[in-house]
This record gives sequence, C-alpha cells and structure tokens, in this order.
Amino acid sequence: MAQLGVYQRPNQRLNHDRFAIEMGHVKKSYGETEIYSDLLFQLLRGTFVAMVGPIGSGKTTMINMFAGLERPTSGIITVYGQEITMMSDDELAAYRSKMIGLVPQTHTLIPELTVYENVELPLFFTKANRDDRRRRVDEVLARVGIRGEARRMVSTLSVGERQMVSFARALVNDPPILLLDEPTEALDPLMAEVMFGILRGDNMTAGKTLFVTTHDRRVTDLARRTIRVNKHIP
Amino acid sequence: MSRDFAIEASGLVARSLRISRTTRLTVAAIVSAVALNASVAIQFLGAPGQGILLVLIFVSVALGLSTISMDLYSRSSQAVNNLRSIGATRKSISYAVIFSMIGYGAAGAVVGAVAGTGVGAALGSPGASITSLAVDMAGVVIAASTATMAGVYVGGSLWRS
Repeated sequence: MAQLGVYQRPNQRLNHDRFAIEMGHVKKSYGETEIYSDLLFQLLRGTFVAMVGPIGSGKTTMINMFAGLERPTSGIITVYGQEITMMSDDELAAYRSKMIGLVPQTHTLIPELTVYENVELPLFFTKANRDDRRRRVDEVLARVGIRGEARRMVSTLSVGERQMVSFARALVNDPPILLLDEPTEALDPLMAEVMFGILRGDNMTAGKTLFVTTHDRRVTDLARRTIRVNKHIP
Repeated sequence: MSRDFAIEASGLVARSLRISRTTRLTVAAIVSAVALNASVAIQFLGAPGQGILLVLIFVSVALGLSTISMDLYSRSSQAVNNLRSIGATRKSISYAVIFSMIGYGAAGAVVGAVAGTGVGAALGSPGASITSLAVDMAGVVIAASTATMAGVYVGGSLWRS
C-alpha cells in the first residue's frame, strides 16, 4: 500500500476543508501494468508539493488523475470536497475550468492560434466577458513576461516560450490548484526564474495549492515538501 | 450566450479544429445541391408528397452533415482533447462548430432553393401562386438549415475520442 502525504485512517473523521486533494484507495493500471495500488494521499490546501521519481513511475498519471484527464481503475479522488471520480466528462471539463490550472508535459497549445488567443481560450469556457478576458490575458501575459509575443502564432515560438504560454494559460482562470508536469524542462534560466517567482508568490500570498512533478532541484528547493516515488517493478 | 460571444468563441474553436473555408464551402455545396433538387421536385407534388419530400431533405442533409462533422472531429481529435483539457465541454465545442457552419448551410439552402424554384418554373411546373412557391421555398430552406444544425450536432455527439 502506497501512503503519501498526511493521511488519516478512513474511519477517522476527515476534515475535508483542510485538503485540496484526497485520494482514497486508488488503484491505477494500464492493462496488466499496475502503476498505483491502494494509494492513500492527501494534499493540504495552500501547500506546495513536489514529486520526484524516475520516468515511468507514475508522476504524470498522478497529475492527470488530479486533473480528471484520467480516471483511476478503482478508488476515490476528492478535490475541495467534491468527488471527481463520479463526474461525467462534461462535469470534469467544468471542474478543470474552475479549479485546475494545468501545465502538461506535452504541449497542448493550439498551433493555429496566436499566443493571446491560446491564453484567452479557457476564459471563453467560463463565459468571461470581453473586457474581463482582455484584462486578464494582458495581466497574465505581462506577469509571465511574454506580453511582447502576444500576436505571434504559437507554432513560431521556441519550446521554452511555448512552455511559458502554457503556464500563462494555466494561470489565466486564477484556479485554486496548479498542477505542473516537469515545468522547467525546456526553460532557460531567466524564464525559470520568472516561473519560480510566480509559483512562490501564488503559493505564499495567494494561497494556491501547487503540485509539481520535476527533476529540477531548484523546484524541490522551493517546495514545502517533496515526495519521492519509485518505479513499480512487478 | 450573447451573439458576439458566440461568434468570437466559435471563431476560435473553429480555427482550433482547423475548420477551413473549404470545409464550410463543402457544407454549403451539399446543402445547396439537395435544396435545388428538392425545390424542383416540390413544385410537381401534392401536399402529402411535399411533406414526405421535406422529411427526406432533412434526413439526407442531416446524414451527410453528420458524416462531415464526425470526420472533422476525428481529424482534430488532438485539438478537441486539448480544448477539453482547458475546460471545454462537448456541448460548448458542438455549439461552436454548429455556429461556424450554420451560416454556410443556410446560405447554401437559400441559393439552392431559389435556383431550384427557377428551374422548376422553367421545366413547366403547374402554375402555382407566388405565395405557394414562397411557402415551398421557405419549407425547403428551413428543412435544409435545421438539418445542417442537427447533422453537425449529431456528428459531434456520435464522435468519441
């Protein structure tokens, strides 16, 4: 049984208000390959946790399950007291829109759109009005330091710049939880510093919950807690 | 959803899904061809036959458009998944796709219906009043346009990533 984070026994009274994410007896398999078996995990609200581990140890799977992009084979995942494992696909999309800022490892930006449009896109799904969208996109592009690239097509950007666009897109809805999958891999030192500054600020002053998978020592130094996972060897 | 909002959102989503002008013109051409043929035939039919014809228009356009729509979603499955990962629901994507196509479908229906009515008259349709011709034309346009929406919606609903 894997036991990560601060876990209370199931028969204890859980204080859901304390936790951003809770996983109860989660099992995740891909065919015959079992990634997690009976995983118990609780992530406090407003904390900053880094997860490190070798490739194939299930770090991305963990982030995808938190984001509702993958469902566990069995078990329960609760986010801010809401059980997401029972949600329909559309309910999960609405949940992501409201609760999650996701920076995936593989870029999910739309190459046919400009930087501005890519960052603006999530705001359409929350029905933000035009003025609000403009204000928030301008603000987040400035914060991330890519305001000057706003009119460029994403397909013309470097990998590091795309990563920063992806980061801006994760921030634009101002979600309470940020999930970042190897966010610094393609960043130059300057971009990495900008990202670290924002992460630090969002966690310390805005109280956002941060969960980051990484191999980067600078990220684990920033995090309040680091979880190490090992590759499951059957 | 306000009109401006719907136009802006559907424009971005349509570009994300690579719905090109060619795709939209294909939609217009299909709807136009069906409407043209139907508008000729409707002038030579009695009321029951006209009713059946309108149903046939609806079914054939909806079937054709649902196939196009499914193909479009399949070709853009990565983009659809990307949109869903940032909060797009199936419904919001479907509406955006419908919104980006309905104008072309309706325009195709109008062009086809007007041309078909002219062709029918030239072929010597039984002399009907302007009013009844207008009603027939409107029937064809409404059937073809609503079938466009229904087809695109059904195609999106049937598609599974």
